[in-house]
Amino acid sequence: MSDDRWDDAPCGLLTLDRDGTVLDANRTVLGWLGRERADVVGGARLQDLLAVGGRIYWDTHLAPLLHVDGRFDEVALELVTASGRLPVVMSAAASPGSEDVPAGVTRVAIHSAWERSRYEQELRAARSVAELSARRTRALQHATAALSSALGVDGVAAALLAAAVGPLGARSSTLWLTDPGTGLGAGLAEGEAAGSAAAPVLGDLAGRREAFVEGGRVVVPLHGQSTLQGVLSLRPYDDPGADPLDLPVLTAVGQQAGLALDRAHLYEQSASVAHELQRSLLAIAPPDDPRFAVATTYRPGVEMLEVGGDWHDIFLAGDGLLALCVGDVVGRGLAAASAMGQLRSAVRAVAGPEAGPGRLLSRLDRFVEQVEAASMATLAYAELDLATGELRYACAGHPPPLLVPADGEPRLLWDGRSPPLGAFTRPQHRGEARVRLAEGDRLLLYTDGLVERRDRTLDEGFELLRETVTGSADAPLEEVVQQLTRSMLRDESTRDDVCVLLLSWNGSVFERHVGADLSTLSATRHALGGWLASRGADRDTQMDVVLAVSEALANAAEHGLRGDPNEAVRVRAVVDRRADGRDDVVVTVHDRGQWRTPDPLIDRGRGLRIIEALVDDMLVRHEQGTTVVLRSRLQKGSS
Amino acid sequence: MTFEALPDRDGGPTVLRATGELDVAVVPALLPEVPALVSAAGSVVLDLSDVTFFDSSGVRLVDLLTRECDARATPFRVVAPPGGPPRRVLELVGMADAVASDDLAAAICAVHSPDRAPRRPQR
Repeated sequence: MSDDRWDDAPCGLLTLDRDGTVLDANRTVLGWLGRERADVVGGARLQDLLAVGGRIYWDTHLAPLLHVDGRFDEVALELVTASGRLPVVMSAAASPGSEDVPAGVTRVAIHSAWERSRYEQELRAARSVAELSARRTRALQHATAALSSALGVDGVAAALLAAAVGPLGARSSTLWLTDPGTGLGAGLAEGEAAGSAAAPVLGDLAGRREAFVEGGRVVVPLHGQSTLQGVLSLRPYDDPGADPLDLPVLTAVGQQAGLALDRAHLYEQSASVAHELQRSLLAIAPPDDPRFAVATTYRPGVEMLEVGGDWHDIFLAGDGLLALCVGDVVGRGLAAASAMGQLRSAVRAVAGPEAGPGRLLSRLDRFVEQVEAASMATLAYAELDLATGELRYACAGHPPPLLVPADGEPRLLWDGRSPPLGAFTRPQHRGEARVRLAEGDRLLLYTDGLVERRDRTLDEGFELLRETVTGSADAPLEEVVQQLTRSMLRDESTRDDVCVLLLSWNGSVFERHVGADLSTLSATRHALGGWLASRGADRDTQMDVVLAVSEALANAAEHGLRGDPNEAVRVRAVVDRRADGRDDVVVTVHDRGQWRTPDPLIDRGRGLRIIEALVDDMLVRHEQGTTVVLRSRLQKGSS
Repeated sequence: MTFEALPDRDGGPTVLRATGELDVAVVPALLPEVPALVSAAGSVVLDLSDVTFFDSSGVRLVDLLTRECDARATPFRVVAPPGGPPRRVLELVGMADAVASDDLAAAICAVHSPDRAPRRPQR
């Protein structure tokens, strides 16, 4: 059969006999196959024209279908043609037997699926492009988020290295940051030994803004606004099938990292200004008066770069009236530090004997209305009458002061409370409270960072504070403060700023500590002289006792401390009224070292002779270190 | 605290003047300078008139000067006014009689007339 309708039909047409042998084929199918009619008709079977998969499918499915059902429809197969495989869709039906086509002959129609197949391939390609782009966007987002949340240059460097071996898909990576003046610093490596990647040559990078491949690694220049901030080098996974590193993504990350490093440098600069400001504000010299002693500490929060708004202050608000203050300004950074400075000055300006704590806080309310950054600051403020031990105090939204009696249990002072400064609900007149200190009593002021932690309630924090301080009434103030911050902040995961001020009211007790560097020796002599004068001692008694104590301190510092800057010699003086009515000055000099009887031929030995000549009685005790007790008659005189 | 050598006058003694507080926090740093200060001197006076605090480390300074001068046969006196802190301490350690003069004039006289100031102080 061969007419134009058959031969030029827009689909391939075949007839087969029972075993698939081609009885006839039109021109369309022969054109696809690229074969001559004589080559196909009568000699080839349809299954021989199919690709391998189709041949098997014919034998297992299509031939049985034809046999049983007499037809199959729209089966996707591939023809083997002269120019490769041609995807086709094939339908076939066994003839029921007619004039033209006898029974047992199968008629086959074949449509080329070339266009559809190409479309599907394009779809697949488009999908993989979309997936790649999504993967790139995700990697870029991860890296950008990590870079923008990193604090400081070290933080950015760590984030960049983590991103390199994480979302950016490198096997290992090395980062060099530029040091102003000296070029590239030492390499920081992740996943490989430091130094295993060759350091880039800065001159080679001058004009390059994009990531490039060099020596099997990808080199990413990190340009800031005006300077090259560093270079990142990434080593790809080299196993077969591993995704290659994505240069456009790395270029984008490099740009982000350069800007992040710019920001980090600026940030560290401003942070150091804030630190300097805060340090200068906290570096106060307390008034010199033997009737009290004070120790303070400030521990910045975990983000060393960010100063907080905590402060402490101690000053004379009037004659014999000592003002103590610990406060906390909301927020962090330069703004908080400068607001803290202003508020601290305002406290000093407003304080005075006629004001008192309650009125002082009310006046500060008006001040913080002008200084927005100081609003909602909290403050504990107290005034101590150094002559009587009378303490007036008030807290604006601040944790309560802790009273540590010389004898008895520590207790929190819960009175005199009102809301934070500038709070909307504040009373017009803020309250205050009073408590009378006894000689040797101590008062602790602190910021909430000392007691507040996520893993315990505030009440637990207060209880822990009380427990920690219990039994410390005899320990040196500095030691208590250090011990307190150490044990309260142990294992702490989220660290806030902490400010602590511990005051001891000595009354007629004199107490000082002298460090190993003896820098406070002179001041201690003067304070002791002043204290002796205030106890009525005449000039000779003052001179002799001061000289004897100075010698004892020098000896203790030399032998007891052995230059250890963390140790201190404690000197304590009291007036002891004896049974016969005579007043003695009793001075104890205590260090934690071993007493050594000095060689009499060197000056320490002379010192000992001087002490013996000056005082009525000298005693050396060895319990938990060395205690030297000096006793001298308190000669009273007018001068 | 200050410690300085006053400008030499022709034929006069080398006068070293200390002021302020002489204690263990400052004296040890001065000691190494002592030999050079007195090596070329014809006679030496240490003026402690304006010293407000004086302890065993000051005694050590005086002792070192005494030794250095003695080794060179150089006359040496200390100005330590009666009632002042240096005099009190030098008396306590038994050195006042050997080295102390009441004022600068007396000290200069003493280093110029070896009869009145024994060249070799007794300990």
